[in-house]
Order: sequence, then C-alpha cells, then structure tokens
Amino acid sequence: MIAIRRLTYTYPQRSSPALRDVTWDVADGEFVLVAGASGSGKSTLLRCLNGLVPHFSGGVLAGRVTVGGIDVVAAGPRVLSRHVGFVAQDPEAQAVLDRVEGEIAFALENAAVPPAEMRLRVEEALDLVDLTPLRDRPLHTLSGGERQRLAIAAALALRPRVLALDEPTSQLDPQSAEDVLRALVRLNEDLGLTIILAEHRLERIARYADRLTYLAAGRVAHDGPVREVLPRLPAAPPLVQLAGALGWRPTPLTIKEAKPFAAAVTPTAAPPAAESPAGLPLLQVEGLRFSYNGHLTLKDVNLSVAPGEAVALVGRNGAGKSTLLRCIVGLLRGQAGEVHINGRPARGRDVADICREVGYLPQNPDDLLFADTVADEIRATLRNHGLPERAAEIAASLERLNLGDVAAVYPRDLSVGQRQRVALGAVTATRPRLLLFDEPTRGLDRAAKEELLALWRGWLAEGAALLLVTHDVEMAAAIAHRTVVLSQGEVIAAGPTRDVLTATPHFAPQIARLFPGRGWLTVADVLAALN
Amino acid sequence: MRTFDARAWVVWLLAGGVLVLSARNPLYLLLLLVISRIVQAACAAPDVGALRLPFWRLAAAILIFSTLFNLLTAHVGETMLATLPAGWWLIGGPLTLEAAVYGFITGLSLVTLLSLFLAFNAIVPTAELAGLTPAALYELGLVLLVAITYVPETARQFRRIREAQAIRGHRLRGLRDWRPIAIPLLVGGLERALNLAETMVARGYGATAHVGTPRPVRLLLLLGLGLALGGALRLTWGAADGWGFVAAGVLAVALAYRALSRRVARTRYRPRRWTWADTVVVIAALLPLALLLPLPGGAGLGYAPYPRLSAPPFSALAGALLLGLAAPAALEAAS
Amino acid sequence: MSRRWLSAALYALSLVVGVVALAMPFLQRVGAGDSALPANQTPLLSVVLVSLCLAVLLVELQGQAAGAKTVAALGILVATAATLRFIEVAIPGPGGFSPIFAPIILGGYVFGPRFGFLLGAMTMLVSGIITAGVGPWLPYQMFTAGWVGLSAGWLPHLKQTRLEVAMLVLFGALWGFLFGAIMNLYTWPLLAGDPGQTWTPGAGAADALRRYLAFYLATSLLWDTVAAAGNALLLAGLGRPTLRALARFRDRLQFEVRAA
Repeated sequence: MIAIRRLTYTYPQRSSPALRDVTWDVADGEFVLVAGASGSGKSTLLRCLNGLVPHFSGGVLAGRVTVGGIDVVAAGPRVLSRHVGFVAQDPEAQAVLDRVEGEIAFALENAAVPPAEMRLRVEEALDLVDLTPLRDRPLHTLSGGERQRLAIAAALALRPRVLALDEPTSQLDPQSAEDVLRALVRLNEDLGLTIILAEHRLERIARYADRLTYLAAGRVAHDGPVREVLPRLPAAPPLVQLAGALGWRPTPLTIKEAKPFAAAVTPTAAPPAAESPAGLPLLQVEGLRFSYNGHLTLKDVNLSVAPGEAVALVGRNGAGKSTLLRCIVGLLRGQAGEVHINGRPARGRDVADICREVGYLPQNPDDLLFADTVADEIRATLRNHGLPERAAEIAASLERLNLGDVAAVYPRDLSVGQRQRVALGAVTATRPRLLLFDEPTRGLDRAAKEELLALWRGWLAEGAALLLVTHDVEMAAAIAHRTVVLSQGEVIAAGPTRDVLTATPHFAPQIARLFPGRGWLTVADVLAALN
Repeated sequence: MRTFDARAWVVWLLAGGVLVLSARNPLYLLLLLVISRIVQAACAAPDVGALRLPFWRLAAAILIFSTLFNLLTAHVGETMLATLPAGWWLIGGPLTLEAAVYGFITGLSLVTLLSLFLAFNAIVPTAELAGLTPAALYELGLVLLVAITYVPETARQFRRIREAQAIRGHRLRGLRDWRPIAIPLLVGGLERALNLAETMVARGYGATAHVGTPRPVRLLLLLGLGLALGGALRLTWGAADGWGFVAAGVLAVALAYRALSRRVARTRYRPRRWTWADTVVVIAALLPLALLLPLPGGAGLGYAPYPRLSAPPFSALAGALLLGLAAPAALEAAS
Repeated sequence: MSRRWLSAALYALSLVVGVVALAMPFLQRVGAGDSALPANQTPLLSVVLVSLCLAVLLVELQGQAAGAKTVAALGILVATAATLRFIEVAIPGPGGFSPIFAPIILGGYVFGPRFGFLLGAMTMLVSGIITAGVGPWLPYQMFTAGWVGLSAGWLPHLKQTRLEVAMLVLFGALWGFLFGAIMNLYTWPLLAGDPGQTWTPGAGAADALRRYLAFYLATSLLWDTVAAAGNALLLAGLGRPTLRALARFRDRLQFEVRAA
C-alpha cells in the first residue's frame, strides 16, 4: 500500500534533516503504530504520506514515496486527499466550518461529489465514528474527543484507503482518547482500513496494532511486530517494562495476558510503609462550595497539602478539578468555605496577590508566553509583582529549569516540554512554596516527563507543596504521597496514594491492576518487593 | 415555524430599501416602518443574538437630531416659528415649521431603513447569511465561514489567556498591559491558521493560489465600472438616462460574476430548496417596486412640505401594494 | 505586463467611482441647477456605486489570494479582529474608539496590500454579521476598511523599528479621521444632506459644504478625534510586538513550492 524508498527531507531554513534515509513499507489493511520522542520525525513521516510534505511545508526532499502506486510528491496533496485521510493533533484547529455535517461535507464539496451521493457519504462517515446524534450541532458545543472523532469522519468522507493520524489523542482526557482509539480499531477491523497512528499512549492501543515503528532522530530505529519491538523501547508501558525485568515471554500486552505470569510472583519483602510529610499545611481548603449557573460544581470540598508533600487530584472530566484550582488562586470565588494559603485566608485578596505565594500552571502553557526571550518571560512576572529583576537570580532559576542555554531564545520556537518549563519559570518567579499544576503531562513525551519529575523531586526536598490535577495515574503513582478522588464536585476518596489508587479500579495504574491487593503501584515497587 | 430562503429575504430587504430611499411621503414611510416591525415580530426566532441595537432609543435619537438639524440649518419655508440673529454662524436665520417637518421626514426614512435591516438581521441566521456568498467569491465565502467558526473559539481563547496572565500577577491597568494578552492571542491564532490550512489541504482544498482572474472577465469588470461611473456623472449633470448606464454597469459586473462562478468546480451539501412560499415573498416584494417607481413622481411616494406645509397625499392602491412587503408575516401566520 | 496594468486600472477606477459615490451630494450641486438628480435618489445611486466597486475589488483580489494558507490566515485573523469588535460592542469604550483598525493596518503592512484589503473588508463583514449589525452602511464600511488595509500595504518598509512604529501611529491617526469623515459622507445624504430646497435657485455646492460642515461638527469631530487617538495609542503601545509576531509568520504563510 505504502512504499517509501530512501526518503530524506529537510525543512526550510533547517540545517539537519527531519527524516534521514527512511525506507519503510506498509501493507494494505495494516495497523501501524509510529512511536518516538518529540522531534523524532513522526509528524513529518505522516505528512509525507499525503504530500503535505513537501507541498505545504516547502523544504528539500529526496527519495520516493508511493501510496497505492501513486507518486506522492508528483501528484500533490489534492490528488492524495482521496487516498489518504489525515487527522492532526489539535482538535481545536482542524475545523473549517461550524456545523458537524458541513464539516464532513467540506472535503466532498471540494471534490465536486454530486449532492445525492454526498448525503450518503456524510451519513456513512457519521455512522462510522458514532456521531450521528450530534449531526446538527455547532462545533463549539462539542468536546475535544467528539471534535477529534469528527476530524476522523471528515477525513473518511472521501473514502480513503489509508488513514494517517498524528497524535490524535495527545490533547484529550483518557475517556475521550479511549473513544477515539476504539473508533480507529473498529475502522481497521471492520473496513480493513490501513491505519498509521503516531501515538504516545502505547499501553491502550498496543494490543490492537500489527506493527510498531520507532523513530529516533529521523531514522527508523526499530520496526516490527508490537510484541517484539515494544520491550526494546525506552518509553514502554509499565507492564512491558516489568515483563522485561522479570523475563516474561512472550511479552504480555494486556493485563489478561500478564495474569498467568503475575500469579507466579511471590513477594519476598512487604511493601514499604507509606510516609507522608507532616507540618503546618501550606494549603488548606475547608468546606469549599462553588456553583455556576445554579449548577453545583464543588460541594464542601476539604483538602490540605503540607510542605514537602505532593497530592494528586484525580477524577473524570467535569468532576470539578480545574474549578477547584481556579477557586484556590482566586480566579473563581467560592460561595462558601475558606481557602488558607500559608495559614492566611485567601478571601478578599485578588488573583495577583494570591499568586505571589502560589505558582499555578494552567493546562495550556502557550497562553502565558508573549515575550521575546525566555529570560524576559521571567522578568515580566517579577515586574508584575513589583519585585527586583536580578540577572543572577533569573539565570539561576533558568539553570534549574534546564533552560540555561535557551535564555535568549524566542519561547515559541522551543519544544513542548521546554515551553512548559518556561511557563513554569514564569509562574514560579516569585519562588512560591505552593505549586498547583493542571494536567502537567498532557502532550509530553517520556523524556520531558522524566525531566518534570526530577524537577518536582528537587522542589519537594526543599519543602515545597505540590497539588497535581492529572489524568496520568502512572505519574501520580510515581510522585504523589496522597491522592484525592473528586467526583461530581465531591471528594469521594482521599488518603495515601497507595491505598486510594489500588482501591479505585478506574484510576488504578497497570501494575496495581495486575497485582490487586498487593499495594504495588509502579515497576519499581514490584522489583523492590522481590529483592 | 416557516423559514424562507435567505435569498428571498435579500430580495425583500433590497426592495424595501429602495422603496424607503425613494419615498419621502411620511404616511408611506410610517406604513413601511410598521410592516418591517410586524415582519420581524412574526418571523424572527425568539432566541437570536443577545446583542440587539436598542432600536426605539436609536430611532428617537435620529428623529430628534434630524429635525433639529434641518430646523437650524435650512432656513426655507413660509411658516415662520422664530428667528435667530443672522450673525450666528451656520445657524442664523429664520426657523420654519416646514424645515422641521422635512427634517423629521428625513429622519423617519433613515429609521425605517434601519428597521428593515434590523428585521433582516434578526430573521436570517448567521450560517445562512454566510451561505449567501456568490459562487464566484468561493474563497472569500470560505474565509467568512472560517472566521465565523473561529469567533467563539477566539473569544474563549481570550478569556483563557486573560486568566493565565492574571495568575502571574498581571493586572489590566494601562494600554501596555494588553500586550501579554494580545500577543498570545495573535500568535496562537496564526499557529492555528497554519494547522487549519494544513487540514484544508489534506481534505482536497487547493494548496496554492490560482493564476488569477481571466483577462476577459477583468475587462468586463473594468467595463462595468466605467459604465457606472459614466452613468453617475451623467446623472449628476442632470441627464436622466444616467440610470441606464448604471444599470448596464451592474449588468456587466453581474455577467463577470456569472462567468467566474461557472469555473468553480465544486458542489454544495444540502442546497436549500426554493419553495413556492419563497416565490410569493419575492413577487410580493418586487411588485410595489415595479409598479410604483416608474410612475411619475413615484405615484405620490415623494412629498415635500415646502414652500408651505400641506397634508401628504395617500393613495389606497399604493398603500395596498406596499403591504406586499408584509407577505412573509402573512404566510407565517397562515402556516 | 498587461496583467499589472489591468490590475492597476481596476484599482484606480474603483477608487474614482468610490470617491464619486461618496462625494455625490456635492457633485450634484456643482453639476446641475434645476434639473439635478432628485435628492432622494442620491443615497440609492451612492450605495449602488460603492457596492459595485466592492464587488469588483473583491473578485479581483481573490483571484490572487486563494491558497489554503491565505484563506486560513485571513479567516482566523478576521475572527480575531472581529472578536475585538465584539468586545467593543459589549463593553462600550469612549465614543468612536474601535480596536478593529489597528490589526487591519498591521496586517496590511506586514502581509501586503491585497491581503490588507481583504482583511479590512472581511473584518467589517464578519463583525457586522456577528453583532447583528448588517445595515446599509456595510458596503461603505467594507470598502473603506479595505482601503485602510490596502494603503497600509503600500507604506514603505522602514529599517528602523522606532520610525516604522511612528509612521504607523501617524497613519492610524490619519485613518481615524478619514474613516469617520467617509462614513459621515455616507450618512450625510441620508440624514441631512438634502435640506429640501433644491427648487431654490442658487443653492449650490457652497451651501452644501456649509451644511456639511455643520453636520460634521455636530456629529463627528469629537467622535473621530477619539477614534484617531485610539488608533494611534493602540499602534504605539502594541505595534512593535505585533509587527514582530506577524513578521515571524510571513515566511511560513507566503512561500512557493520548490522542486526538490
């Protein structure tokens, strides 16, 4: 179906190629996962399949790409749009029109499909991704997951034989991501559609894919059946890592497959006792209540975070997690209850005043960045608070965020992980001891996550308090002392992470689900207990 | 609820607008004003738009301004009300009842025009309005649709960025404080534009610009403008045949549009079906235009209070014809 | 070669027709005595002419700016500028001030006259549609705002940022007054242009000008001053960073596909 021969491609004004000498084939009906760190060339490879590279991006391309026998570079994206459907990362930036049906019809209108046939194809596309009930809705009323499924439907309208998706779930919460991935699996199994999926979340999708291609620095580093390639990757899911460490063969991809191996594991040491730092809490929330448009989004929430402690706040979408963070920093005002920061009530203080003592990183760090250089971003915050702008201190804090060598770079030219750390530097310029994070690991690759974890550990050791709103339970398991579960605005579980995450199957990490009742959360826990 | 085709509404609006601009008889103007209000009440969806012009307040302001302005600056007419010292710059001279009445009528015609447009705005949904773009302007129609799609998105973005800046101690005090909000909004928007363009290309939209409008079409456009200019100049120099030239110019441009729209090889999803009711609306709107305007003096549509105020004439036939503009309301009530 | 001439002729003629349309109430007096165009036909003729110019310019410009990147960038910039208008309507500032012109001027300056015209015209159209403000004034607003963007694209590109911003500030202030005066010319025949005395011998252009002056003083001077000051302030305060942000995207938006 797809044949790539000796493909090398360089973006305009770049010195090193994004893809180097790639030779790669995909058979008809295959489901291929493309993995790799940010900047490894995943997106570029996908864009070569429908001619966006080089026709849209410019640059220099050598080698040959054919899809279904068509030379992609010669034919161009317009011809290829009938053969390769494409779905990009950001659900908010791939809608052309403002109605669900019209959006799907857009590609058909461009292709001058007769109206009668168009009706049929729109119907079909809606059906394939389960969007029929939403057909008349304006786009801005759809959730991120629904918009992503709509993007898939729009890509399917021209009945392509290949569907290429560039990290379609990286901006979504787990439930929406699951919906999108399930839709893809169905398309592959029921229609025999060839699917090329670039993805970070391998644990959910690995078992459905036929093949895994791992890119590193623009080259194909590993390529083969998922079961064989996955154990060799640095960013393998916990289950696969454990299987590697304990020598389980063949590598299990699901909890079910791993159960027989797990049954044979007998702990030699008891799980370590959970220690949670004590001390006067830096953050104390008491009986907080918030309603919006008569709808109660927070009901008598109690929460405290002590110095040196990391608390994870988990819950489904719409459970009130972000609302709680916004209430703490004063962006929203609770109708009842108290928030104390450093022992002082936050009531009556404005956002800027509260945020001098609280560092809050919102979901989209790009919203913060406006200055010309990284160092200027830090300076802007200091100026906002009327604090002195000492060059040495700024340099030191950038060094600490591992941004020392990009201090003079335009922030928006940096990678996602770096941009997030710049934003983090901007909100922590006042050196607050209480830090709040909203979905900090969204869209990050493994290396960026590790870097963030290391940073947090350093801060915790110095007595900072962290409150993390996250869907990433593996991350929560790795860092949080305590976990609070929020559901429909109420705290339904709170306690040591070990107890809470193992007790709620929905939020349990892979390892906890594999060994229920043992109190293990991470691969490290298991290995420690076995030694 | 019956909804008429947006194109039918455009005809209704244009016919009404031309009638209002041609009429100076306050009785007919008043009739048209009442009709437009009734049509809006009957045909507008109740929930359209939170933003509405405060119509009656605006109307009152226009009427008062226009009356006073004419009273103070047009010193003609025979019914003297008072006299301002001649030395007063711009406004000195006799103040007459006729001037005030004429000013009021001018204001009334603007208010009526406004009312027609207001009804149009309230009745035709945004999406259909955007769908009115002629096929020859396909690309600009697409720009329009993209913009309408992204307006709510941009507004949300704006709020989010404002919050994000607030938590780093930002306060909106001066103009420069807008920079941390304006720049992320703009850059975020442009980044999105690139993503969007990529999506459009991936769905078969042309990646590069065409070579441009073909030469004969451009010559036709040039001819149209030339004819219209000639016509306008002839009209200002008092030659009545100028309208013919202007009409020919409009025709030439229309032909150019037609030629261009033929080149657009695209189809439309769910084109709206034209119904008999739409036809009725169009005919009822065009009838008064076709029958009243060519009559000498616009069949009494025109009226001037000078030199001495007199009662405006009213013909039952003209009144009945104007009622044709109320056809949408009547059809709405009948269904 | 002849393509360019044809293009230039279309711009020039549409500008002339536009000016004639706007100056109609005065021309009419100069041109004729008793047999002048009936006063109530002036607004009609004027709106027909302006709509015609707009129709011609839009189609002429579209043919040269139809790629996906231009469409997407125009669409989103228009949405951004129109959202500003939304804010303006929702939170009324000082009279006459509108944040909508600064982006049009900057967009035209960075991306060129064609992009500028379309940006100006489409911004007016979209903001009219979303604020339910479609009225007889719309063709005039689109035409004039289009010329704001178009003329910004003709400004020389200066090396020194300070001078560049100063030039744009001046330009913005100028357009603040000009836009007000032009929109005035449009309301003028509708609201007060005709005193109803065309039968009076000797009522000529001088009289019309005298009345226009009174009209302008009464309705616009203060308003337009605020508009001009607002444009100037916005461009002075935000011009530099905005220019830089736009310029960063210029290369990515406007490139041609090269063979490898």
